[in-house]
Amino acid sequence: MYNYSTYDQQLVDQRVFQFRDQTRRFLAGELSDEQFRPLRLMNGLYIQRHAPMLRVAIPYGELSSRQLRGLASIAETYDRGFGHFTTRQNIQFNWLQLEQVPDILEELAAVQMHAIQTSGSCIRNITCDHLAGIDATEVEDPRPWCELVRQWATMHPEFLYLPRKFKIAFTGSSTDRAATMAHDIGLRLIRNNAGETGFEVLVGGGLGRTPVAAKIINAFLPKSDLLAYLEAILRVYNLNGRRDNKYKARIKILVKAVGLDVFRSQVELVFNNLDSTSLLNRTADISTIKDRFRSVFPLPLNLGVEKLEAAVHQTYSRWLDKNTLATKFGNYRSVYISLKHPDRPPGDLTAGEMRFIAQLAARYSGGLIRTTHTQNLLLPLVHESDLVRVWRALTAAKLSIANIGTVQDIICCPGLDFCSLANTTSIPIAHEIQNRFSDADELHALGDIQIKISGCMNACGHHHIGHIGILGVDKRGEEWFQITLGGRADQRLKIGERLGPAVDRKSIAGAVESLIRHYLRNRLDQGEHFLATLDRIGIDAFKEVVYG
Amino acid sequence: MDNLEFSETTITVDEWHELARNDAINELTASVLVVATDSALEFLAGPLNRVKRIVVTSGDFNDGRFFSIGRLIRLNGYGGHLTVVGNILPDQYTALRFCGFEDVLSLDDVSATRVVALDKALVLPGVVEPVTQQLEPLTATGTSQ
Repeated sequence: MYNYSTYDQQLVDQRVFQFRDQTRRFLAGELSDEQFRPLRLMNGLYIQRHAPMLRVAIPYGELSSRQLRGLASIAETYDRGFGHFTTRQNIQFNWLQLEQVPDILEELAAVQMHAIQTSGSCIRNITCDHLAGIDATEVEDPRPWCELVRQWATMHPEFLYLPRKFKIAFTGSSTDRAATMAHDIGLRLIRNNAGETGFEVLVGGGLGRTPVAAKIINAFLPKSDLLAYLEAILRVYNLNGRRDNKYKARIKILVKAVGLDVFRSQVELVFNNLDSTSLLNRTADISTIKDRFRSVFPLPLNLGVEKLEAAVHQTYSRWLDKNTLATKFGNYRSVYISLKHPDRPPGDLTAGEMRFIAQLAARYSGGLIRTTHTQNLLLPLVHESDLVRVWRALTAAKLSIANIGTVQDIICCPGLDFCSLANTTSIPIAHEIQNRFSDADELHALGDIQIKISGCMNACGHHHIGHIGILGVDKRGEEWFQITLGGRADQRLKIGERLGPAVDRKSIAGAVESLIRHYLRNRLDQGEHFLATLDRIGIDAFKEVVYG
Repeated sequence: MDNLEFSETTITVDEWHELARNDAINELTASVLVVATDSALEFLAGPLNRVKRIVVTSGDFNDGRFFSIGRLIRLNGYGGHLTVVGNILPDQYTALRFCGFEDVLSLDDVSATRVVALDKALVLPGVVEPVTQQLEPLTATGTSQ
């Protein structure tokens, strides 16, 4: 993982100082609500339903044990003892006092963390494939490039007051686990016919009220041109994006309005006029950045292979199958820690659990933890001889539920429980669905089905791109839910199709269960995926199940 | 921004474009070019150095176009005085300086006009020194220091 340079540390320290002064001026009445709003948002601070919410950046999802302990301390000291991991690999604290936020930022800075640009109309936290650097199929590890872009985007003087928020995601793999097509800019490391690596650049993706899949604006961008090309896209957007209507202000609307070809020519005009010798050409810095990435190789503890009792063998095997993954380093596997359980709001973790995982990671995965787009955690590299011990420890902490990728592994926004924008609850819906599929054998047999729930059309729960998507809508003060089928978030991103009229609160979990049981009855065999069955028998067959 | 008054003669971007269309830019007598943030940007390709000062006007501190416009004016070789006018926050001064502006004509609620020289503004409490490493402040010659 990346270790701060003196400059990086100075920057976050100065930012704390600056925000402390901004908070003081706001509380003293020297800044109006309107003036303070973009300043606090630029530092990740929202005013939510119950209290200010602080979103802390976890750049490209990498955390150290020390940092996770730091987050635990903040959860205990300033919040109600827990944090919530988001789909963009960040963590949110929901019960803070505004006056205490500068102190929280100071504690974050002490462990090389911050909340810079986790909200507001600026370039947000850079996200990345959570298997970066360990996936055997990837072209190149994208994390150093993520870090380069993070440094370029942080406090970029030209792009702090964009028309709207701006999200960038990276992958180095042909299997897209970072939803790059649902981002304002998606960057995919690819190899061309000459054997050179570069970026496929996608632009204009996003969910929200107007879901759009990003389109390819540059099929192969040399790596040395990355920052200059990003600068050109951002400048065209900053100058031409709509500012009269926030619902029409994202880059996807601009690209659609002028057309991809015109937008591309505008970008290339700016790009071709940029000074090629400028500081934007920082390819040489990549080697410096790579040097600042700490080795991730944990040494095996050589404690010997533990024997498993026959009674737990099946449970362990299921966990091994669902929650661990081979890596490109032969004797090491990645271990998922599922944060999805009927007793837990999706993505939530208590301070005690944070400390436990920090300790587990320190012992078995080189002190490294990653956050995933699906709101789970990952120990990136665990030696296979340590797997049984890790499983036992996770089981004792009630964190070994083997449901990664299953119908229980639901992406879910905070909904009406926390969010002031939400129309409906979403966490209780997730729990009801999880409870309907709590049998481990059945869960295992169902295969991978992604359910995604958003409590309003802002789509923080990514319902558009769930295999089964659920959108909460308000009808005369009552909670109703629209269902979409057939969405997907991977390299073949697709917006789901609406099944029919919204169903009411008491029917939604049952409707989802009916859809899944219909799939089970109709799939050709256990190997036919939900999306394949849907394609084969058509959405009308599923409509009948819900609407009779 | 309609009531802005300068002691020098001003020209708007539309008027500049009109002169350019009539091939009469050499007859320009104004010494201040006033650029609204929603202006067409063809003027950037013209002989900007014929005016002593360019003033970019924006009513709203959230209108981030003035950052890009300032930067483009400098990157097109403008060496004169570059000013931004509007309800600008002190928190934006550093970024403005890095985008090539030299001062801010700040309009507050009582319509008093305050001129802030950005190189001096950086020492104000709560406004930190450069928080970016990728850009040096643009100077009046349009190049990095």
